[in-house]
Amino acid sequence: MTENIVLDLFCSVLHGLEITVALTVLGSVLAFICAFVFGLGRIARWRLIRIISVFYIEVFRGTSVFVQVFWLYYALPAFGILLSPFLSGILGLGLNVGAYGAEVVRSAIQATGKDQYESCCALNFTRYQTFRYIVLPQAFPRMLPVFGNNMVELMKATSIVSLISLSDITFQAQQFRIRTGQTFLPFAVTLLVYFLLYLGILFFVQSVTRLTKPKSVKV
Amino acid sequence: MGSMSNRLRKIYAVTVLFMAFSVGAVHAAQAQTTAQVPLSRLAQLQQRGYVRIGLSNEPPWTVIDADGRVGGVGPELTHAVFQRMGVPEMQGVLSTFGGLIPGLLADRSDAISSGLFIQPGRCQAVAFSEPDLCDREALLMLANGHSNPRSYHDLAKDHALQIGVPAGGSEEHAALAAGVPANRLVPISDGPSGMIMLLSGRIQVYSLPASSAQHLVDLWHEQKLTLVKVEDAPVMCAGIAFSPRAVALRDAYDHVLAQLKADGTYDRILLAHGFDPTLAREHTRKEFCAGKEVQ
Repeated sequence: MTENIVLDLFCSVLHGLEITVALTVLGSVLAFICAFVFGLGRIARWRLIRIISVFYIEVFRGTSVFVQVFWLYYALPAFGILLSPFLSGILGLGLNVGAYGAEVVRSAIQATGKDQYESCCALNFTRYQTFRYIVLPQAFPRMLPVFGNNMVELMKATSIVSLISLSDITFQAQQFRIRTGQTFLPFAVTLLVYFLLYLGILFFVQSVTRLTKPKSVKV
Repeated sequence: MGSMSNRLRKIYAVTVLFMAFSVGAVHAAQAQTTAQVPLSRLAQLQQRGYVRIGLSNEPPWTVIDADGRVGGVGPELTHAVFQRMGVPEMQGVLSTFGGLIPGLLADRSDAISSGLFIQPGRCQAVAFSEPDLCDREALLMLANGHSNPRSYHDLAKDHALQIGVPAGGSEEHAALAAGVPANRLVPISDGPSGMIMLLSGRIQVYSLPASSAQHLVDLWHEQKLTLVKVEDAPVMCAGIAFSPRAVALRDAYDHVLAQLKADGTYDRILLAHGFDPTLAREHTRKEFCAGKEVQ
């Protein structure tokens, strides 16, 4: 009896883990892309691009991720757009966290000293060269700790997809509770699994930080 | 205009863009609802080969196992009806109980089969089939409780009682109608949560359909619980809910459901799950909807 329950819980969590990990990874990739596209767009030379970027950042940062995912899943079909639950989840999480990331990208780039730009100017670097070889290698490591935080936030926010019929860990734990009436066990396991995922992200971000540490470059 | 700060101008631009987007979205929505579907919904389902059924895990009405397989009396009956309508497969779309009707209206499912009671309010939002599963409302409480309420009117009189009701369920309306103030009603998301609240004293009474209550009593067999069937509440019947745009599909479903009721298939499925097949025969959709049906 107890063995059956443990096996049932193990299967449920394993099924849920697949969805949670897939959402975290794909959502983070989308968030990363959005962060760079709109973070750079926010300080672009062209006015229209700046306006579009500010619009995206403020709308997605200023409204609840919960409501955004609900919008994508329940409201968009009224406009004839039927996204799959999985795609709604990735879009909702990725676009929301991407908006925070865009501000991280912008601030990290703007934190690069004026002297750096002046030296580039003195060396007759193009805008691309300045950005690619001088600004970005200094700004990127500055972004990483905050990106790591955002990724952890995204991972934890994946539990809201249980409300749009995706069977993530939280949803599976909930179904297990309804099936068996057990509450302590599924919630304890769920907490543990989220914490292990957090450790995984921490390890990943630390590895990337080591790899991208600015080295003195011989020119 | 020169005095307008850069920041203000940005906020202005964002607001204008947002409003433009909203207006465009509303127009798109209106265009969508007026569009006509050329092929009948039943023909579409037959061509596709499967029907998407909105479900929430509500044992014993709907049971979902560890591998996500769908069972329980509601889905089994619905599957049998759709099979005879020429739609062989059934696909479950899981959500919370409160998310069932929004999911149906957002075209996430073709029909709901999850013990959704037919009520006037719901009749305005969705097109119900004829009643298929009926049940009494019940009150669940600890056996050593101080008071012993038998009805919603008893609950209204005892001001010390906090009453748990399923979130989005029919019990809330029944209790309010009997004079229970809203601040003594606690919405509960699922059975186990309700049981824990009952055992820890956050609520003193948990009101829910009798068969769901019996299921919880069986799960918590080591606890001494009292299950009372509410005296002043009528029998409630669930039906399959269809989109208000799918009344023709609903009518086709009703036709086959009547056939199953006549040939004994209906009785066999209900009896196998401990439901009473005679109850639904005494009631009609018309009576539960009280003239609030969508047309």
